[in-house]
Amino acid sequence: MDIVNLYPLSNYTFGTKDPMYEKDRTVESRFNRMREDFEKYGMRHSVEGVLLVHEHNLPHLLLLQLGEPSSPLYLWLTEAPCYAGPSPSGTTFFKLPSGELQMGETETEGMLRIVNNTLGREDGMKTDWKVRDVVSNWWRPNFEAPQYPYIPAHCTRPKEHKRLFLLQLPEKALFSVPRNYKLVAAPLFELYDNSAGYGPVIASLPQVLSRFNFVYI
Amino acid sequence: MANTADDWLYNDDLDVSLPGRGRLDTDSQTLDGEDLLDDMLTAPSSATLRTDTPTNDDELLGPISHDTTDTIIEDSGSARYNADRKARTIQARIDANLTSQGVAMMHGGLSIFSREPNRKNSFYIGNMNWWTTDLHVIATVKDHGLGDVVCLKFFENRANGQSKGYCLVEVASESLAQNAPDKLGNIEIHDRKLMIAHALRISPHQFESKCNQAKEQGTTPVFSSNSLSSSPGQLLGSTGSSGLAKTSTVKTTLPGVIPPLPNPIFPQPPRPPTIPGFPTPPFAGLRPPGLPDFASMGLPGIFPPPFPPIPNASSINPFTSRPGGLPTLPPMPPAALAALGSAGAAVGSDVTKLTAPHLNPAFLQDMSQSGANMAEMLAHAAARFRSQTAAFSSMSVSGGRASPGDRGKSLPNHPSDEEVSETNQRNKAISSSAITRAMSDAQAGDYESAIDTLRMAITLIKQSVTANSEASQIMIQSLQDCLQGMEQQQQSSNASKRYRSSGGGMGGGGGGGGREHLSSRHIHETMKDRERDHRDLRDMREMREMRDIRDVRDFRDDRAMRSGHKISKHHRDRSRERRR
Repeated sequence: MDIVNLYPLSNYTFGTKDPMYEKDRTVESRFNRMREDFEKYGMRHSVEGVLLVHEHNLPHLLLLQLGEPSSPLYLWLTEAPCYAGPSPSGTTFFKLPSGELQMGETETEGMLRIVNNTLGREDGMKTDWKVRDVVSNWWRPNFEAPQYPYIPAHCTRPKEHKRLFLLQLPEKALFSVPRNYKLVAAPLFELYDNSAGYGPVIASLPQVLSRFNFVYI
Repeated sequence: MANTADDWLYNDDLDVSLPGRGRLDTDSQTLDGEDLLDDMLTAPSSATLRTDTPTNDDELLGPISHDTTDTIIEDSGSARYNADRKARTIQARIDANLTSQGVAMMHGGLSIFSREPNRKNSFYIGNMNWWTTDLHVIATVKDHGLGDVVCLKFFENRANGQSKGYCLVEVASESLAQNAPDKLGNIEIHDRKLMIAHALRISPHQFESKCNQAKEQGTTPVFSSNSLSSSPGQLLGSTGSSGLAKTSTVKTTLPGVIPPLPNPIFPQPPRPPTIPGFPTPPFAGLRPPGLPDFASMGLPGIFPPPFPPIPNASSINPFTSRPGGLPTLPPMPPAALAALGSAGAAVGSDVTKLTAPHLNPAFLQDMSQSGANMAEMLAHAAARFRSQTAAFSSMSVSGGRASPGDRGKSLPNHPSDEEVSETNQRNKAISSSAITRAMSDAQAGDYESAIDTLRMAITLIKQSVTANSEASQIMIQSLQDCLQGMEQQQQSSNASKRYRSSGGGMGGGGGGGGREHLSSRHIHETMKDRERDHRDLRDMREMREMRDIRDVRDFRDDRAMRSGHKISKHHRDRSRERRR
């Protein structure tokens, strides 16, 4: 039985750092770069990190929220619609800390590198994350948005393979959040059956994480 | 790794108060309340298990006691000691099943969840946080002098199981329930002032609206770049779900308290009424070979498997007790119609307005047995059918909405609306055609067959699914009047032939006129009432559908499925799950 320790949200403190922009600013450029990379290097390997805390004896998932709020920052909490896609009053979007593996890098190394880049502290001290299990796999059969938790039968060359890892957080930590993101803690019931709001990858996490025995410390 | 958390389940030393695996609650029951936690930690059962199977050396434990929650000694030389103690704490939690997969068994009496609270002794507690647990509620109720909770029901979002923040609590007596608002009115749980209400029907709605409001304004835990100025490490707000995803708000505003409306269309296998003296196969066998296009049905229901029609009755295609309003009337093979010609058109036209002429072929067969003129019968039916087709095609559609309940009667076998309306229409057809037939027979002097016809019709209607409905009763009554008249006529065979074949009841002698007029008007009025009922019911049903969004979605998915549209697997799974 996999036992994972979760700590309350209050154990963690949050700071800010410089904005971290994605390599591809537009959807089109993203897929173009994917095509070029595919020709050079083959299938892209991505990793994403699942970071969990707990509140009220329920696991909460840390998500990065990206997007243009339509109203002043202190009001966006209640007003910004949070579809994973275009919406009338602004585009906002949730994602996990993620990135692409580099050549020759193992998954664990890559995961730690990415999560330190995204949320790691800048004052030289290292956050003691531990990469635990693979939680799920998703494949992208074409240079398009759809991805599936299996390789479709007709496809022998998926274009991207994404792996989600559960990360064990230390008991206390400081996270530095890039200025262009907000860090959100979403309770699992918020994600459950809500792929309209978060996309299939994140919305399936409650099911996928149910196999763990979380200890609420 | 050994199953440390599970060992207690299989250990024979278990205290009997611990429920077995089969009754595990799926939600974790870790407590925030100090006092309850203390109770837990002193429970002897969880402590004695550890000595059997140490998992690894670091975590060898002795009996658990309160000490595990003591402060950790900060001495530099005792880092390992601290680590040990912390490990023990964690292990203690695991042993005590204060984990996501564990279940805490605080209170005995799990029977409080096993039934619905009795409203008489109950009251609502509302305005709670979504994380306020049942144990908190029980403790609060007890602490404020209301005694033990007999039964408890939380109201939750169907979509994700989240508590709506209110619950229905049953206590030992009505007087205690009446006292509840006084005793608990000013109490707070988790910094939220409780709202207490008596168990009236409208009470849940006020909690629902409150719940929805709270969703709109709830704070979410966000750590934005500018949040350093605001409180960093801001904890989750009251709902924690509001701003995060709009769709969840939409979902959670579904009124969960409104009891799921019974789907008026019960998918049921068709049940042909049993007719004494008739072999059921011919009746049941008459499903039309070409069933109408399912896609255009647009109704969630299962359809009867098409039975092969028997040869002699293939000319008539009645729809007997089929769930599904028919957009088109039963297709009559043109050959049959041609054969029948337009004989008897005049006879049928002034008969009361009929909807789709659902002829009972068994009935027709009986006619042949009793020497009736089947061709004439069919001619009547065909003529009526043709003359009424256009006018009543829409009737059939709306006719599928009558609910037997509206008639104030409850049928033991709960037929679907469509079955009911089909049956009613058929009964109407039977009665009018029987009367016409009988009259023409009587006019021809053949009282025997006329009486038989009428008797047959009465039996058929009585046997039908809607036998208890008003309309059927009226029909039976008029048929019986007719029958009596017929018998009288038979007796006084020097019939004065005063009866008019207006399709109404028969009257002997002079007094028949008024009565027959009355009963024909009866039938006429019944028709009109039915039409109006159909319309009303259809509107009502549409309203109900719109209200319950989930049903509409199911409805659409089923329709899509049946019409062969590809619905995404996700949606299909969702609806499958919902239906389960």
